[in-house]
Amino acid sequence: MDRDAFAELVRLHQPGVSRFVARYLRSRDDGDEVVQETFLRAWQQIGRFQPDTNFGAWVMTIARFLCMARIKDVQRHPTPASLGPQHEPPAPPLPDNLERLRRACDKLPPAQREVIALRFFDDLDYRTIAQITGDTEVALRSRLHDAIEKLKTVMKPEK
Amino acid sequence: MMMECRDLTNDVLTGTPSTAARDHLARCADCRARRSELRALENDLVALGRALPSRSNPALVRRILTRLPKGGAAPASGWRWAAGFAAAAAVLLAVLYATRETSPIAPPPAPREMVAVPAPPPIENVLDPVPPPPAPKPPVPAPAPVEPTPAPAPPPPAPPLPAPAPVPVEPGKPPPAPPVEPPRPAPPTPGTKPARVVLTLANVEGPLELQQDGAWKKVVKAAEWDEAVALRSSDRLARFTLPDGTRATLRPRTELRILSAQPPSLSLERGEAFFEVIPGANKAFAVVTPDARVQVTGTQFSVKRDRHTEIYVSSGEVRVSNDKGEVAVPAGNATSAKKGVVPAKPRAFDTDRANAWRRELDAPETIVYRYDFEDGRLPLPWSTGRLVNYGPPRGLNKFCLQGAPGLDLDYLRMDKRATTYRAGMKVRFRYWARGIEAIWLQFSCQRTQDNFRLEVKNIVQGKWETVEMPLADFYRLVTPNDRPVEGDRFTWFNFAVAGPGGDLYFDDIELVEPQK
Repeated sequence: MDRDAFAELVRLHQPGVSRFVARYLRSRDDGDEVVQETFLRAWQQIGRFQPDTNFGAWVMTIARFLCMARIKDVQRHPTPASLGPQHEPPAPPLPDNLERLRRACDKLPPAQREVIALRFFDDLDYRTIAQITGDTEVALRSRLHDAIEKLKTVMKPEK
Repeated sequence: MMMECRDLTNDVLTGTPSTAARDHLARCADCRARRSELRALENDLVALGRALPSRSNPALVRRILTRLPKGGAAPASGWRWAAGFAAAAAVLLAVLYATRETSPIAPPPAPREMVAVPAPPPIENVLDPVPPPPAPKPPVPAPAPVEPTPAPAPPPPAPPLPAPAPVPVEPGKPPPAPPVEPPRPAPPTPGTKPARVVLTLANVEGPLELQQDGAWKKVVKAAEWDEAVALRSSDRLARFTLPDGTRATLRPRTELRILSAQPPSLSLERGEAFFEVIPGANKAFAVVTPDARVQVTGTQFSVKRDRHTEIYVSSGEVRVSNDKGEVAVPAGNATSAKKGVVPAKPRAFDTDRANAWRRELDAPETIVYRYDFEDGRLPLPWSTGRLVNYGPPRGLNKFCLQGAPGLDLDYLRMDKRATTYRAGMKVRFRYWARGIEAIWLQFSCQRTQDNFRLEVKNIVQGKWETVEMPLADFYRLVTPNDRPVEGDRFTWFNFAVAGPGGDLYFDDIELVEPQK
């Protein structure tokens, strides 16, 4: 892969990777730094990338590792932060039902929150999520099932 | 086969149902309701994902593309062993060259007119005789899952030479011996045409010169630096940036050569250089002298080559090794190395002061006020705060200010000139934190009757770190576009801790402005 092609991939995937990273790191500066490091590492390792696979997922694998290393490095708990990027400027308010759902997602255990985000926000299949998180597909299905059941319970009373 | 309600998992309900599942759904109202509920929830989750902000950041993309090394990417994994072997061979050759006693290359004549830059005192003479206990180290991040970086090749055994006794550093001694010939890459084998090792120099400041055809030619702004030629600063400080983002500042008459480009490895022939290496686990920047190899993955440090080699680490950690042993030197420590002798045990040192010479390339500035608390008294304007003797280890300094949960500086008790904002003003300080997530700096402004605030994030834990913030970056919380303007008068300056508190200490607090 030449540099120009890679530059195109950076432009294409930066928003997704930034959003992905923002779910783990609260500070925007930290996030941008990790996104930058992610793509630089991807370029260094591009010889290992298989062209017929998902570049976005491959880059997210790198980004997730760097996020975990960063969290560990600053002695925080290695847990994903809120599903909404907290370091962004205030976003337009969400419709009531989505705002309730966002708050419900925030209350999920970190591992469940992560799989919800990867499955529905990033629209990834189980195989890709397994590649990113290092879990088995069976474990992910079970975790997603538990998360969905919890969300259903939380969302039910006011529905 | 008939399906039961419990057989219809969420995956079955939201996926493409089989014939049996469809039959079951046709006759089970409960399962149909479950499926509707599930689909609605999943649709909401997808909608939520789309509603959350996801902005492209052209500045970030530009920054990434600027930092991409020029040329091709790293080779595929199949060739990594070959690269590692080549690197090990290069290091072996480098050490063989380094251990030679004499050099056929005479040092270039020194320029007649020099601008004196005060040198830091030799390590052994000024080190604190009783080093304070070392600060606890942060945890080491786990290795990358993508591709483990090949560990740097250990220094190969040196030829059997008698080990000279360590030479103590003494000021006022005659000039150093002629530099030993630098380690060089292997000459090309006849019949093969190896790729030239070239590094692009960018953002060049000061008198930097490249040796071309026996003459020294000045570098203006940028240049290609070939492995075959030496690079030196002439009579003043010089600074440049390497393709990987590493910034090097050279003292006058400092000379460097390239050992390898990937990972970047330089040979310090003579003089002193300060390196700011951008963190990145996949690269291992190295500086080699005849006495030792200084290996680093992301830090700020200086290497001084005289009759022996001195290393001052301002930030991060470096590993200093030669054929006799290896030591890890953390931030705020210094060590020295001599060929044939184990590198000295690192000792606490005021490395900020030792490396302060590098700032002489920056624009000259006037210190409006400075507090280093070294007289052991809390100055009057500090209406809160507690002076601490022997706080966290930090070299030569003895007193610092205990900071959490907050500290106030009352400008009304100071010289009025110190309270007026002028363009280009900066606040600078050093801190030591444990368990602190962010520090807020706040100035209370008479004009706006409000605070101007800035948050210092990415707090480094467990070691002294220097922060510099332009006052122009401070903003009002209610109206973030409102910034300080010329002539604004401040009545208070305040440090506060965001989030749950922890241990926090401050020292060397300065307000500076550019000289007119």
